[in-house]
Amino acid sequence: MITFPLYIFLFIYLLFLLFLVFFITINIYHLVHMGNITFVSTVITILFLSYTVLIIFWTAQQLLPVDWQTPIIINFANLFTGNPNFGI
Amino acid sequence: MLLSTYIHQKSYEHIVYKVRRDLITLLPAIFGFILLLAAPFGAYFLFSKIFPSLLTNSITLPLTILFASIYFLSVGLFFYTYFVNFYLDLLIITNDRLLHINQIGMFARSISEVDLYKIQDITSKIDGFFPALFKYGDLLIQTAGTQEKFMIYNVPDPEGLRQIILDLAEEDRKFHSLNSTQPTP
Repeated sequence: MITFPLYIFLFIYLLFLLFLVFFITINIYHLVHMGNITFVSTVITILFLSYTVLIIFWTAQQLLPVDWQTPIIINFANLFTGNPNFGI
Repeated sequence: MLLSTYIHQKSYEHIVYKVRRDLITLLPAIFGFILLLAAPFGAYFLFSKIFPSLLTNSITLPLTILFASIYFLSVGLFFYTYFVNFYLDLLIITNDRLLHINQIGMFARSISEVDLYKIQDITSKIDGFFPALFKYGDLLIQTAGTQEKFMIYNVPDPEGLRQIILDLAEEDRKFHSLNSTQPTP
């Protein structure tokens, strides 16, 4: 049996956000560095950034009421018993 | 940074054309993006029927939301990266040379360059239903340089572009032959 708090997954999500910011920065850097800031590239970049902010905002709204201290107990004995909660 | 700085534009040189792949060739990626965005809604419907407890449980619900968020952000990033790669592929035609910038993924790029007067032959090719419908195709440029062949894919109006490059090459050839026949003081 393993027990860990739910906020571990929040840290994984934050790591993913760091990875996302890194790749967005690289892409924008490429566009600026190669002199490709045009109307089309600016519109697509603004659309993509708005989409990203919207998704993060939606996620934050959905996750606000969650109690991140809730312990997750993975019981290996229940994993293979056909329990639909996958042992959680 | 300006494009002219990036290509080390010479003082007598000016950019005549900047050609990108036809925007219509981005459509399959846009459709793929829409499909990938729609897929989780189908999954949500299935899960709500098969495992309804997963979407109400105090532990699995936040995990599902986090997973969905990562999925949607990844799909967006994938599409944006695809667009940037698409947009950075560029054919620059100046009055002196032809530069082909080919972005390969996020961390690789190749730049090929040929002097216009070295161009020997250009072949334009429109092959297929959609290329014929939307008038885009490939250009094959043969040169006397070290890199003998240039292949540029999915450019708009390849036939018109072929003629423009041939005219510019002819002008450049005249300019070079004139300069080579003039006696040096």
